[in-house]
Amino acid sequence: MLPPHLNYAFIVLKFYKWVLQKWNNETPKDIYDEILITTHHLRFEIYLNEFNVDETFNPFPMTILFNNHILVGTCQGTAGKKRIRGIMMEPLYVFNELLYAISWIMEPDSLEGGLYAGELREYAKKLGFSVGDKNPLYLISFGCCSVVIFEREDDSLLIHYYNSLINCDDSPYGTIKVNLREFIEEVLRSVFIYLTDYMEVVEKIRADYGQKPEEYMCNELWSNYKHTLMRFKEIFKI
Amino acid sequence: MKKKNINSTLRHHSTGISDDFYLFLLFLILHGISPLLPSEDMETKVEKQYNEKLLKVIDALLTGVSWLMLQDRVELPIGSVELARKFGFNIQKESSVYHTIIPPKINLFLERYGKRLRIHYYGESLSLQGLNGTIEFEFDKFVKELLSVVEKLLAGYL
Repeated sequence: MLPPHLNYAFIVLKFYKWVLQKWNNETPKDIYDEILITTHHLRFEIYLNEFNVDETFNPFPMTILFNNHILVGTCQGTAGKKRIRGIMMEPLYVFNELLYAISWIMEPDSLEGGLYAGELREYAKKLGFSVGDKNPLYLISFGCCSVVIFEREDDSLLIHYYNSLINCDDSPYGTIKVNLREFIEEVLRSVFIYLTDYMEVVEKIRADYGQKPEEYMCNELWSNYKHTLMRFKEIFKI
Repeated sequence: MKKKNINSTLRHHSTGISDDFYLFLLFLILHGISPLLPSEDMETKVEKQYNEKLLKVIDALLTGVSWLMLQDRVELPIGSVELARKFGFNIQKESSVYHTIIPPKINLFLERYGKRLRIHYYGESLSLQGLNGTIEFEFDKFVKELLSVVEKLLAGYL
């Protein structure tokens, strides 16, 4: 039996429930201050109570951690105490972009992709990362200050990150090596948790402040998720 | 006339689950009649494919409806209106349109014009030649029916 986040029937059921909620104009009862999504390696924190009303595009402060390295966000340390703070982001953008990244990087014939105009391989080298000459690359730019480059090497995924905002002892540069399939599954799980448990809360907050659903398009994350999942199952023969 | 066409092709494939039968199921759903729930024996391959196809149709319809529910005009993906017109369908200027391709290669255009919903379908592959037409619904009624049918169907899967 497949886990729920990989089971198409289950996802359609969850999607159905979401559509039903929209149709009946139901809103969630519980509103949280903060969303925490934690999987084995990944950790997403979204601070809902610091919602910026005037921002349609990047309304919530958000941090993303991988193995306790801060990929997105900043760290302020005084007298041995660390305080991690988010930067203004759009959760939908983050999750969509992660899905695009994994669906690009798992394709057998990918080369270079992502939001970068020019020679990505050269750029990665310029940042100080040693990348293979033929390995597929994908660049994700999170906000102003954080760049993450995915590199596929056989069954492994190398995550090169550069976060110019980090201000504690951590180095702003780093490379983490993970198993490709495990990582993809983890991203899928994180997005699934967001879709099924938290997105409705985020939507309610935005609606309360008069933002319209057309402006942030949650439907797209659902479609993107299902599409990525199908491809993942095809490629890895699950 | 077009429906007759589907019925007649169905007769030739009465054993197993043909694409036409599956299409017929789609028509049943569209008309608010719940097709047979999948049997408990889900092991056979045919059954599994059939399930996945039906799920895909449900998914496509739900996705389309979720977009058309929005207040503003949407066209998804961009260029759908043009494509629908190329296939010979008459699309109103103010309509919201959602386009998707469901197995076996049937173009489905969901057009919302005010309170009306028009579903245009167009078979693209050779075996589906001549399969095209339009079914019209009241949007609210269609969504209600779809949601209740889907609930029953999904209960059979899980």
